[in-house]
Amino acid sequence: MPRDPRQGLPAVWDGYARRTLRMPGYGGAAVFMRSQVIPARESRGNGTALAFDVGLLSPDRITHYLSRAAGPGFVERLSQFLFRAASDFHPEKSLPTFIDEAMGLTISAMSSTDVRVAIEVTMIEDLRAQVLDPDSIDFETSRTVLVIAAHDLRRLGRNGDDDAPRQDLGS
Amino acid sequence: MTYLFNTLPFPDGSRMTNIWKASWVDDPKDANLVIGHLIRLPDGQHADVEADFLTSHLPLQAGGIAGVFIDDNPWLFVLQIVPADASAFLAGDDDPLWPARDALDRALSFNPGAEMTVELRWSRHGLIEAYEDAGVAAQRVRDWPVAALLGGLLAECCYLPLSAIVDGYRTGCAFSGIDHACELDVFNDVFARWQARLIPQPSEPVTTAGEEQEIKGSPSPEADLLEDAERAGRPSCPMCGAKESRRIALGRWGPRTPPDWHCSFCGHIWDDPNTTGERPRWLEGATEVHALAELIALTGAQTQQELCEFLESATELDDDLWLDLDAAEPNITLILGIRNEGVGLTFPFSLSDLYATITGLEKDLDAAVTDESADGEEDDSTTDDRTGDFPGAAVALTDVSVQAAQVMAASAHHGQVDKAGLPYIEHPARVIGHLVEPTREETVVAWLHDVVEDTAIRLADVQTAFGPQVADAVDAITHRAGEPSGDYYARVKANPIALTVKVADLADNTDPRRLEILAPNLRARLEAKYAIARRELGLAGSRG
Repeated sequence: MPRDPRQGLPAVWDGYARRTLRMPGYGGAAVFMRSQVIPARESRGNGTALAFDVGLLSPDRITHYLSRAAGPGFVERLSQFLFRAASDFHPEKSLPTFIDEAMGLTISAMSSTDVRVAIEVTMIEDLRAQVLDPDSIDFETSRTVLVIAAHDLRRLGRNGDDDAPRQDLGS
Repeated sequence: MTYLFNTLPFPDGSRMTNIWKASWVDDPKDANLVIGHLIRLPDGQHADVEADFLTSHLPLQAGGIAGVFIDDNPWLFVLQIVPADASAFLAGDDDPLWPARDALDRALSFNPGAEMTVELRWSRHGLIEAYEDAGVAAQRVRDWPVAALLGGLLAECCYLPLSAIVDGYRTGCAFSGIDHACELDVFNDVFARWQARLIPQPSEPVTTAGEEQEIKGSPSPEADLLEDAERAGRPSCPMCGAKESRRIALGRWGPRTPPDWHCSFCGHIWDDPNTTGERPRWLEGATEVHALAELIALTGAQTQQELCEFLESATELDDDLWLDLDAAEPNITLILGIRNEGVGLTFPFSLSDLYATITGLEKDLDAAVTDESADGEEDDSTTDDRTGDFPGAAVALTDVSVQAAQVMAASAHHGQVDKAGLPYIEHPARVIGHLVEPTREETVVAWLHDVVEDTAIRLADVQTAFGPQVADAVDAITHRAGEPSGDYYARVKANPIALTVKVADLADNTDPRRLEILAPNLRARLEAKYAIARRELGLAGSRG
């Protein structure tokens, strides 16, 4: 019988397990984020860092951007952004665009109704290129999905991002 | 009971929340095959979003239904039609349904937590047999495409008999005897009427084509459930007629008598006048029922210990309200949100303040009980005719009171929209924006100026929560049914707070940016109405 390779490992292993954030929308679009940890030896002296694989899905394509290192306070900031996108009357007016330059990710609320919010997610295709080409997807989703994603996101980075400085979007 | 509900192994208490049909066009002569999959979604996923998401990745999907099990886990049942010729080309004759299964596998890979639990297959002949079992002659549907046969079985899930659906197929109208906005497609016609909650439940007669027909069906687990509910004395929902009500202790705003009733089917909440439940003790007689007391009421906690336990495991309260907690000792921030209403409010407290307030409310209660027993009948003069037994002591409003008024207004107007289709709660928010350096009383009254007139909130609730000054102003600004406008505006003018808020109310109602998005005839009617109002209030020529 094959042995579970994780059996017997200390509980701290759970901190390094990859977790997935899934934010589906109407029309078959979705954004996925899968967390992973970049070991200290790979992070140019910045210690262990949190990184994400980011997937953009629509019915006619799926694109993955792998191992994008997250900027300071990424999980906290994005979680707050999603929560406010779900709870603000008109997030397209009240909510500044979420930007994480280190990851090359921006998310903005484009329009909203009392039950839905349309968001646009943009990834920079190649962060080292001289001319930065954006790859974006926009879709409508429900406010409920955004709240759930905000909560899931906190779980996603709980073990890897606690030391990052907290940034508040303000009220 | 309907064919699909009988065939699918739904646990007792499952309910349907969504139904749809794709616009398939297929040839009746083709030997198309049908496959259906029941999918259990992970806890917390949004059934309607997931249904739309999943089916967008299924090119062969023909329709389906979605809902929740009694444990609130969502489910989907998705039907796919497999063209026999394409299937044979792709997979040979060994597994003609392979294209549908493969498409579903691929779609489910984007939702790893979803689990396919049941697979059902039909041939065209099998679908026609389902109609025959329901008393429909086979020759009436023999020429129907497979997609239409499926559409009929889906529409039957809305509790309209298959015979009535077949009757309306040729004309494209399922309710020819009823004045309605016809979808010109019998299946979509049924779906639209079901979504508008205008189709009676199985226990009631169904009216269609001008005739009354009783729905007939064999006893089923769901029918047993309804009978059990009746036996338990549960009332029917006054909104949709379903008997799937349950008591809730998580009340809304104010000193209503919990537990209320909550319809599991349509979400409507109502008071049962025959119910005499016990209320949280600290709310009885409290003269400062503000946001904190509301949060205590929402938790349903009866003791401080229960409240502490709740706060330590703050969680979602029900489908519409959630309470979140950000506990960073010694301070605590409670976040009350109303789902789909775009409202999220934060209440920062220290734990010591929290307990002190609760203790204070309990002392108030004890004092009130003591005074009442000592003074007997001497307090009649303080009792307001309109507010019954509620105390009339002055309340000093705080910033928390303003937040509390916002929560009360948001929960009371939950689900309401204005004439432009926007959430109604935006109106009082804009009215506050029209106030110039408002006092707390004016802000509170602005939030609440429509709640007594347009919602289930009673004036007594307002008085208990915010005191007589606010209640008087809200009362003055509340238009009674059939009241002459002259009397109404005279009452408004007599109350300075009501007058200030009414002027701001008119300023918002006559805002050209708001009026221009209304239909021309409605806009003209409202402009005339508001011109009269401004004249009655002595505001002609000025803007609030």
